[in-house]
Amino acid sequence: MTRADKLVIVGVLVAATLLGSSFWLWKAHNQITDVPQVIIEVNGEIKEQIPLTELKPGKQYQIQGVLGYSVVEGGENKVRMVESPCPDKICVGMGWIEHPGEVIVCLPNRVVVRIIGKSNTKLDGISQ
Amino acid sequence: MGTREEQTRRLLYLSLLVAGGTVLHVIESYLPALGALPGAKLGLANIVTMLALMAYPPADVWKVVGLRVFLGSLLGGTLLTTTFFLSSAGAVGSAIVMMLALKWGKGVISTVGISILGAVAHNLSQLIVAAFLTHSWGIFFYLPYLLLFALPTGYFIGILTRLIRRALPSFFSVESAGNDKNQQDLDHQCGICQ
Amino acid sequence: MDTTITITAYGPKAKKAVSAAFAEMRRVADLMNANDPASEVAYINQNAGIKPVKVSPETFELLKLSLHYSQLSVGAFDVTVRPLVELWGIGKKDNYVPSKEEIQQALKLVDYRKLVLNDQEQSVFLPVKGMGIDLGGAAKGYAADRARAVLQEYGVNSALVDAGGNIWTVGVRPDGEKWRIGIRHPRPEMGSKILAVLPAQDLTLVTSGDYERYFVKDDVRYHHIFDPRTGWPAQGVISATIVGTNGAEADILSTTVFVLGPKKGLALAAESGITKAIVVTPDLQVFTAGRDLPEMEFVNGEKEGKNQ
Repeated sequence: MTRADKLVIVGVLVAATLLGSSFWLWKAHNQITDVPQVIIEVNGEIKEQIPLTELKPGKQYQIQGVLGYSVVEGGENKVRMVESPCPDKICVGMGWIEHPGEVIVCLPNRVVVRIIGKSNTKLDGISQ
Repeated sequence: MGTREEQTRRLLYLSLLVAGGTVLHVIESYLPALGALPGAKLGLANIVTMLALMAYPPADVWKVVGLRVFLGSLLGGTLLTTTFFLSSAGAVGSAIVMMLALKWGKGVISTVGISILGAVAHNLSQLIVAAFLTHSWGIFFYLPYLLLFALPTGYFIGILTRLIRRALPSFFSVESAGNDKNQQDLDHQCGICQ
Repeated sequence: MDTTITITAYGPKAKKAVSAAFAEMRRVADLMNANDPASEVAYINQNAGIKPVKVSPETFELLKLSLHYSQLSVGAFDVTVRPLVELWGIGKKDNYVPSKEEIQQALKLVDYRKLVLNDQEQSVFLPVKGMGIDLGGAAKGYAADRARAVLQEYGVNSALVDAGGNIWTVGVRPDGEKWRIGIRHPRPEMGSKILAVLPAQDLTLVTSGDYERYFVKDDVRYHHIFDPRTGWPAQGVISATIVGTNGAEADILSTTVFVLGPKKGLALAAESGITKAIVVTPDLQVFTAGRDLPEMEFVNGEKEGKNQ
């Protein structure tokens, strides 16, 4: 490897770290006072908006995408994709998301599931 | 453009590159997704783009890249689907960046470095197109992961490309001698480095 | 008080205010910690069966308040619980479960009705040797009250006092929002660490839980909140939170409600003017009190408990 190669590798590492930490900071700061909301979009259009705390384990939402129905399932304050008409099933493989800022994307079906809003873990204090 | 024989040889080699790229493109689409991230792919077809870049002028490279995406998608049955747009974006994005890297970094940056830059560009352009298609900028949340992911895949593809190039010396001895010379220098340099 | 105390204050004199508040809490601890032989409370206990002890006005007032709730709860809260605390030694002795006889012996010495508080002389008398006062269920809340008062004396109007999980919110956050206070889920291993979130302004939140100091022996969880009527760790509640404006009272009430159970406990809290309270039972049922609770966000969707 040449010096330039190493520079490229270090550059990518630095960029990934900087981006990752700035996203993280952005997530930590960009909080609204509401309960986190699960948002399901198709082609950028909001189809469902569910407060995270109202998700029931096992409750499913059928979403009509461009290829067919994607099925989104609720858990205890978390959400995942359980069925998708896309060929690669990456979205299903992603498993649960639970924190604001996290997303599940199914590109072929154009379905995006994301969580927005105040993180419940960000508290000023805990009475215990 | 040289003799008739040279022209025929060039056409043959370009065709071989397109054929190889098409096969790699299809193979790649059958590989299971690496990690649970959209856009996290090995980028096998980038090997062909790099080989083309090392031996032929940009116009020829674009022919190879365009044809392999078209044929690969046709064979894979993904023509004009989301996957098609994504792989086009990735292929074009990485080709542009690798072209520039080769132009500006001649003799300085090796196959591995170029390949990593190509992998980063591949993922980045796919992400941009994906954001555009889904109208959701939230997926840039994945960018840091994809950048990190580009390191091992880019490295691996770069090494593969170098091995293939060494195995096919005649491939690079016909056209654009200047370009070829630089590549020779580069590999020499690398031998010392490692 | 063997707990971690955190004070966050904002304002021009915040730094001075915080160190003054810490000093004040230390002073209160030195006065009321029964484990410290030099404290007033220890002095009262050392003189049990010997003589009345004259104490500072604040110790006297806190004892009066504790006695009031001992009477109101008919001994479910008992300020003379010290002999039980010493017998079990939870957090000090090594997983020690006393015999029934030992507990019976100790119980004979636990009786708030025998405590003599003399208003004129500001004196306290325990008539039987071996009796003892324990302000563990009130002093922490009182200390937090004092810290809050000191902060306010320094003109601080935005602060958060966290005395080992006893929370006092002073004013609002610097960004103008109410303080977001979580209430610990008593069984975080079941999933969520937080049971509910309450936006709070000039409120104190006190939670008594069986998870603070405990040991498990033969599948039984022995914790530090005793039922002074049986001599055993109180059963029937695993967490009780009181939200109020008087930390000492909230501290006493969280212990009282913990021992009394959700129904009687919340009724007694309501009688004492508490409008917000949450009780969790071992089957993880959540009981709440108060009309103002809708602003509280329940994290686990466990709101299906009964409203009192």
